[in-house]
Amino acid sequence: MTTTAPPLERDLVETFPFPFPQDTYRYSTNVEPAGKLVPTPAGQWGASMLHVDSEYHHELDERAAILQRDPSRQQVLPHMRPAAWDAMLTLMQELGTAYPREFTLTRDDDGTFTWINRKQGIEQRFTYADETTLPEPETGPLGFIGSQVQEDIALLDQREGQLFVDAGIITFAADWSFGFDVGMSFLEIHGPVPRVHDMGVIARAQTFLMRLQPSTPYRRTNWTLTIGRRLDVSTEVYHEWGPDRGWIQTTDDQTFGASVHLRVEVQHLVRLPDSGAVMFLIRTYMLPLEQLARIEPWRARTHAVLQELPEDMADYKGFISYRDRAVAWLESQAPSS
Amino acid sequence: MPTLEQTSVPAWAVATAGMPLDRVAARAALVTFASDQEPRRTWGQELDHAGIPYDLIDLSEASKADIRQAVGLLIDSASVGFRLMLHGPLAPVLAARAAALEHSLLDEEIIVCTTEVSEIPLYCVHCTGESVVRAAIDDVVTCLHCGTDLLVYYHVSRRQGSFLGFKHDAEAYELTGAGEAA
Amino acid sequence: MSAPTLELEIADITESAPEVSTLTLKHPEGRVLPSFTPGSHLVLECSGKANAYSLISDPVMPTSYQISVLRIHEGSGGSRWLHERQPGERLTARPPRSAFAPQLKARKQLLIAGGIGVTPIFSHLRAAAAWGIPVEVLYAHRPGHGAHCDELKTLAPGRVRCLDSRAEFAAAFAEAVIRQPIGTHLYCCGPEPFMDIVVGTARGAGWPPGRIHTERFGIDALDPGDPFEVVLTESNQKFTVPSGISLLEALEKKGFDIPNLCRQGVCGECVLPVRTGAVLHRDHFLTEEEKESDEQMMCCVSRAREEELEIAL
Ligand code: HEM
Ligand code: FES
Repeated sequence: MTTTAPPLERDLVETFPFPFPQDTYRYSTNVEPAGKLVPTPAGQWGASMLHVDSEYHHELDERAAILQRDPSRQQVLPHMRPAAWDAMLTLMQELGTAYPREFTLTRDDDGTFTWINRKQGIEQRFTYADETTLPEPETGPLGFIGSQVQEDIALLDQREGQLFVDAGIITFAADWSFGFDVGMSFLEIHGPVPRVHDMGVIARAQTFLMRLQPSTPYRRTNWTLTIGRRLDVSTEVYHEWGPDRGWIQTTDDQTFGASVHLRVEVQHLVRLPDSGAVMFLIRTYMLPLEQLARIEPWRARTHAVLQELPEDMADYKGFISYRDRAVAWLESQAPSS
Repeated sequence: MPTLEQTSVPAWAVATAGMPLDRVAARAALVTFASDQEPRRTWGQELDHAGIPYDLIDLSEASKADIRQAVGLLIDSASVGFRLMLHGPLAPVLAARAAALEHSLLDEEIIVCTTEVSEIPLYCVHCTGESVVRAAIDDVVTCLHCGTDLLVYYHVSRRQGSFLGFKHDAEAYELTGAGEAA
Repeated sequence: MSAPTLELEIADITESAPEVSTLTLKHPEGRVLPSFTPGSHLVLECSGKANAYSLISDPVMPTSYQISVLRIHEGSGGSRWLHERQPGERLTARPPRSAFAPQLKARKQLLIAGGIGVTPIFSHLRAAAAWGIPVEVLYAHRPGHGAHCDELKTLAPGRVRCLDSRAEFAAAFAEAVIRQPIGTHLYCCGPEPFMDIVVGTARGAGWPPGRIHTERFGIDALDPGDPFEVVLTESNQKFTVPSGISLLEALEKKGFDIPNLCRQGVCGECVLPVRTGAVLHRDHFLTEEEKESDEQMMCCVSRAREEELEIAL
């Protein structure tokens, strides 16, 4: 059976954050100041910390459904309450600045705030640090804002000379479990990643994050391959998506190109001003190889990177079993000279 | 697999080991889950030599829920200067550490000595149940709650107090099988 | 490297204690100012020098900042200069920086202030009151010089003791330090010898370092550094990198396209090969051995230790 991908909205190609600056890829502490616009052969990305695109409603519906099935994807350890409020206010201000027509946050004279989200028809008056002024006091400020941004959110507490991942709303994890990891230190959470420890990447990243100041947010990208337009490839549901990695090897070329996606995470690193916590935003983008191959520089670059990528990294990223196939597929799409 | 020092797996979770005493402590509680291993003879003596007053609390027979509760109560009535010393097999030690962290102890206030690590607490990421099983990293064991065969992964959650386990053969695909990409 | 600056207008000046002026600063158009973490300081440009002052006002989306400045007679003159300002005048500030943040996990806060060190403690107390965290404050000051004592007492009635003799403070602290419920964090700000005594006493009572937090005044951002000469051996150029400009910025101005990402000395992109000269390494990327060998440098943060560097570029 042959699968063809449904047509993609144009903006998903135009704003795709293609992640490879070179023909080879290695881990590094690849952080850069946020907000810098990056032109690509298909368009551009990166003007703002939060990005609203044509998948907005679809992705937020999906997040709601995942949370309904598995509430462990959202957790705020008790001491992170101030950080959750701080995150909500910071994200509202960001949305208001980036998309003033759709979102507005105003501070009223009595100190309360009014939040308007025209995309979802929300108008909410609230008092900072008072959960009862939010529509659903139980899920609190993180639940409220988490249902209005496409980004996954993690909040890190800085203490004992380290960072700890103590709160978040993570529904689109790429092969990890937030419910298991919550409470871990930054070094612990990166335990499974190969190479980075010997290279000092994670220790350096932590040093950097611990000095981060509110006025200067940073960002980085990470990537992998995912089969199907599946946002939730968390370990919790590994038994559901794991078999796709076997199945893909049995497919015809057309199905392969339509199903295998380059999955890119744009991650923002923000010091929250009031609580002093670090906010980590993960925005997930997926582009089927079929679409990617239509943009020749992307096809050629992705081909080079996948071909050269060391075994341990391909293994950790989970596509070792179909990497050669992906390389061959990309090769086959080269323009005939 | 990276070397374990660079992971979330504590050294004392894969081989029996004790951490050194903190000699500036003002007081301590020596909580044992292995009273037959004579904690008073080892750590007790060291505490006496250092002149640190301590209480010996025997939770050798306690359930996980009882351990969590007892440790919580113990900490809530303590003053700064206090150290918690945990002595015994891995599973109760990890449970007690999780409770201690939840009750706001710092890593440097928790001193661990494991006497046995062959039985590990394993968290099933698919059903969230915990099984205490005789196993080591990379073994495959059956979840006692949902029956899934789990790979024991080199990842330990300080909050859950357990190793991560996930379906070991999840990527197997049979032509008749489920799991076609959406 | 250089964060954007803020122009602020002095809205009000009051005397909080003899020799202590409290300045209220606003955005000239009344706009909302950046929120800040309790314990943060504002770096103000005071007649050519940069001085850090702790913010004592409300931290969330504020419309004004408040700082209290002790007039210091010796010293670089920054505080004297500030004491001579008038309402309506403008100041240049860098955005608030945090290096003395409250611990979110604290179940109680024991706040210890000595003299003008009360300013970050004031801000911690405000946050603790707002989030309902139990507090206890001991404030040592000279008789008649207890700036903000009344405001502290209003924020936490019955929890604040202002002590104007050394002996009284020492006795009160010795008694308090041994009876804090576990989960308490201690924050101390004051003169160095005062903080040394407080930290020493707490350590002696079995407090682990992770529960003790001190504010040591200083500007933790990278200092602008001294000017130095650069010789580019491949392209035969020689120029001066002025103070406050990084080598990376200087090279970019000359039209060089140097790969870079973080501009903070962590990503490793901007490495340059050094021919001769001693490097003042300020990055977190190179290992200690690499730094000692002086064969490479991260040009976004590192500078010359002596007058000149030769770079193979
Ligand atoms: C500058 C900051 C950071 C750097 C350089 C960094 C680096 C990395 C790298 C290289 C990987 C491997 C990714 C792959 O090959 O697909 C990774 C994985 C991961 N990172 Fe980070 N990271 C950073 C920040 C964070 C933060 C703030 C969090 C907090 C939630 C986080 C959570 C994770 C998790 C959960 C994984 C997956 C680990 C697993 O396999 O279980 N990272 N990171
Ligand atoms: S630009 Fe990142 S180290 Fe210099």
